[in-house]
Amino acid sequence: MADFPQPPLDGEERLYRALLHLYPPRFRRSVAQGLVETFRDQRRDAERRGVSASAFWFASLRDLVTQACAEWMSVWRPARGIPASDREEPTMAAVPHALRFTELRFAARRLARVPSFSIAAILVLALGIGATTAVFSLVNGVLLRPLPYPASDRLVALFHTVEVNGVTRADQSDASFLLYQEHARAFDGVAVSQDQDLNLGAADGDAARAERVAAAAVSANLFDVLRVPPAQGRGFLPGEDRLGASRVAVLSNGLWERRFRGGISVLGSHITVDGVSREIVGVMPRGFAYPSPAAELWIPEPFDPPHAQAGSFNYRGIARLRDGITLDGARADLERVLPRLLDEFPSGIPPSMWAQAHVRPVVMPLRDSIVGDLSRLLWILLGSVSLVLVIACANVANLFLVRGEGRQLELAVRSALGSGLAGIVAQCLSESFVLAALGGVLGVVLALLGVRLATSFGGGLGVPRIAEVGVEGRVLLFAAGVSVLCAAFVSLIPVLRARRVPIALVLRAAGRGSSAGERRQWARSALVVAQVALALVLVAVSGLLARSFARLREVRPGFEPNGIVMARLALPRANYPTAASVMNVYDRLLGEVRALPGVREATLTDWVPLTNDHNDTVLSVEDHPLPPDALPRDHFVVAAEARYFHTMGIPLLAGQTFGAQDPARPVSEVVVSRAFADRYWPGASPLGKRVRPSLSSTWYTIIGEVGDVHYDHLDKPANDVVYFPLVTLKQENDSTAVGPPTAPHFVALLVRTDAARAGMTSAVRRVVHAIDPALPTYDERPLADIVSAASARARVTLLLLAIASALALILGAVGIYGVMAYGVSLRQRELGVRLALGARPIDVSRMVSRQGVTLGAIGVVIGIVCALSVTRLLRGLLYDVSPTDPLTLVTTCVVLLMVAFLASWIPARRAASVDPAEILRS
Amino acid sequence: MSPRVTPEDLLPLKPDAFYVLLVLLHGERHGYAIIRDAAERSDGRVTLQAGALYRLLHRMLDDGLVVESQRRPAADADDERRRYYRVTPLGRRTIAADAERMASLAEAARSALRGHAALA
Repeated sequence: MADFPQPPLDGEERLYRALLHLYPPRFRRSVAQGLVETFRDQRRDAERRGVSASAFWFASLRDLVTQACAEWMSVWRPARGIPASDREEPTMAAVPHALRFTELRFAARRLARVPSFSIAAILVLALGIGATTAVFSLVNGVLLRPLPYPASDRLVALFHTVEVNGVTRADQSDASFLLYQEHARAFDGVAVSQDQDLNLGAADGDAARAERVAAAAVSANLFDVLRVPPAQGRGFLPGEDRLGASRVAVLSNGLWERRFRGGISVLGSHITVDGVSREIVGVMPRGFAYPSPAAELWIPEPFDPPHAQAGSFNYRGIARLRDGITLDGARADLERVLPRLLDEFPSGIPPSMWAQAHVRPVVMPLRDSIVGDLSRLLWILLGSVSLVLVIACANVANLFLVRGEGRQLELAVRSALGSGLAGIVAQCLSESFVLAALGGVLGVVLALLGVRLATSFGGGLGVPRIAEVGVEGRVLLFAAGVSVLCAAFVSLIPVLRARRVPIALVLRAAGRGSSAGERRQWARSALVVAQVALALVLVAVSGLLARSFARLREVRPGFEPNGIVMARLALPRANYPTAASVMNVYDRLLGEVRALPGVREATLTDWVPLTNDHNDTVLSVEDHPLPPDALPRDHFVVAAEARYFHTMGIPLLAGQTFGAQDPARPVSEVVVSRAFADRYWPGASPLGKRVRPSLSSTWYTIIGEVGDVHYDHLDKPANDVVYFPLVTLKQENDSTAVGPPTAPHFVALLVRTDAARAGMTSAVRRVVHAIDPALPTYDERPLADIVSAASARARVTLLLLAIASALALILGAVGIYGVMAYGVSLRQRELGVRLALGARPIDVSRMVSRQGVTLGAIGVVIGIVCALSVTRLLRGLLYDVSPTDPLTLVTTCVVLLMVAFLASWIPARRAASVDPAEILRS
Repeated sequence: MSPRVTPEDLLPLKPDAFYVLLVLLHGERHGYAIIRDAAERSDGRVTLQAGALYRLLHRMLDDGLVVESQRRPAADADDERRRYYRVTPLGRRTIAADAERMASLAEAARSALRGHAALA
């Protein structure tokens, strides 16, 4: 025993204990103590039997390595007892293992040791997941969720396409509704509605509480078709939507609570609606709002079948599909019925003219028709934030690769021992799952905030169904799914690289600290290129929209909105039946408002530009006779008081405007817009020419030409408009006889002021109240607000996209910076040698930043190709900007290259400041 | 471990596991003692290394065949702390069942061989 060479006792045991780290952690913790004890016993026994230390160690190490490998394999093996040859690739088996609680806990612990890495990764993922989740909850609430009506997938919107000059879509007329209701077989009910604003007087005649409410005139079966019964009382009975039927009304829950304080006795009591007393027969359940989100009162529309007009498409139609009927089937059914329209409701329309209009029925899911053009915008937004998410994931994957660099030796040893792949996969997976889970939770919090912001803004922008948007089960599921995808994506590249860890190379290089990571650097470079390309797509998209928006801002609305305050009022026909009584009120009103201090000018019109006001009619032009049976063209028609053009700042180009308007002597004069004049008399004066509203016998002489105004949309060409005076000659519906003079009952008072507007609206209110206490003013707001609201949706879209692209740019820059900085740290030795051999610092930093810019440039080239195909989707959303606008695309490329340069500049400077002596010494 | 594990679930025992249980039937042992005794009882056919033994013990602990002994036998000569292992009732039933299984296998083989010999 004395001749046996005695190695240091504790040292050997310590070494053995350290080597036990090759075992899986759980196994090691459970038996390490026993193993070390046994090791000691065996070693003593070996000494006793005279076994050489090297032989003993060889046996021990062989045991250690083989058993560690076997134990690692058995850890990944789903079930014991399966022959080794039948086992599947351990990579897949690693997935369930990686998700075991213990493994996740280890991962969390490993991550906690590198807080800067973990926090960065979690924040980046949270941004991506949060933005995607927030936009998805919009998409979900607005586009995906069924409408809040039973079996809402069977609800359809009914309208028509027409080919009339200036018009492509027509809703339902009373005649077409009555026809479909009577003869169509594809539906369980056809209903129509019409948005109206009505004066609501108090039941007790309390004039001070008169108010204007959003209401709807509906067919009696509307609630039945939607299958929403009133919460109290009844809906409308069949026949209540006919002329002469009893006058009834149904309240919304909100109106009921507000006006009647939720009293149960409201049923059977009476309210005054536009001067007409109506019995309240029902109260709708909370949350019911159709056809408009603001609707608070429903009254039956008094249809008059014998006098129904086939061509007045003033009602929005909906229907419930009968079981088993498809959209196409329903449309075919309507096509079958429609030709009877003029037979049953002649309406004075020549059949040949009707045939020319090519009226064809359209059946569309109600949800699609409500959401309308918003759907494309939302999908584009979702696409954009998804790109941000992909960029974020690429960034985190990059962080993983960098971190993996530090552990390459450990991983290579594991690979060498045969256990590596599964272990590495499990580690990567479990870590990325922990990161993605935390990022997902934080992202949902961000999404909650974002959705709250969106709903508070979206309502003001008229986004349909915005009230239904929320973070609900499906959204959470989406966030969870996105997080899992992120985890998979983030660990994908490190795992793929791990499959090909060049073990021998790593082990050999480990001692030299050289750049064995070059191949991995290549993977990171590819990620950076992808990030730059994606960021470029996003920046290009928002750049184009920004340019489009800038163009939109340059559009002059055609009037000077600043300083004008609007207030609407509606005179009940019951109280003001004649033009004289109406004009009497208007004259007094204008006189008193103009006398108010601070008022420069005041006027009245029935159509305020860029609001929902609308009135159009077909006009015949005297010196442009139409071929027989041809359809005259449709034109916008605005009723304007004498000072309208002056107040609005619409320039008078030729002739004159209206004089004082006397209901006793209506003039047959009109003023036309420049677009109208250019359409019919390009290059010539329209003055003295005559136009005639179709079906009227009165010719109106053009006395003036004024500048163009955008009445409908800021982003469409200015409309041709014919201005009529407030007082015109009433045209009887079904005759060409000239009736008594008439004046609009719904008008907007426009006041140009140099005083603060808050005081002005209350002053106007007092004036109106003094004239008629039962007359409410409503919709009081500055005209400037209306103009900015007209571009608000574009502005918000732009803002959201700008945020998305800013995120993309920042993440892209961080990606480039990370790769360049790490590249420099890997090459310090080489750079040191270069400097020592006489390279100037500027050469070194140029070389490094050139690399960064090269990566950026590759990304830019790939990105521009992608962008060119993506921006085509924007067509229709862009105003006066081509989807391939060279200026935008070139600017985008330059911006991206600048970012790439800046991101590699800091590492480049660091490279140049390398001290060669120190590097070479170390 | 689930109490519903029956000896049949764990059969057949691998030879190494069989010998470890066999050794432990004679009393608590620490790791190296198990290696030694197993080699002795198997006439040197079962030579366990430390790693292999502890993987086996780890699994058998999981399966509930053995437990770590709470008590440190005073009879043990040396004064070092060691981990001892003891067979559980389940371990006992399992090795009994395996022995029974092997006995019946052996019997079947013997009678088959006898029949074969008779034919020949």
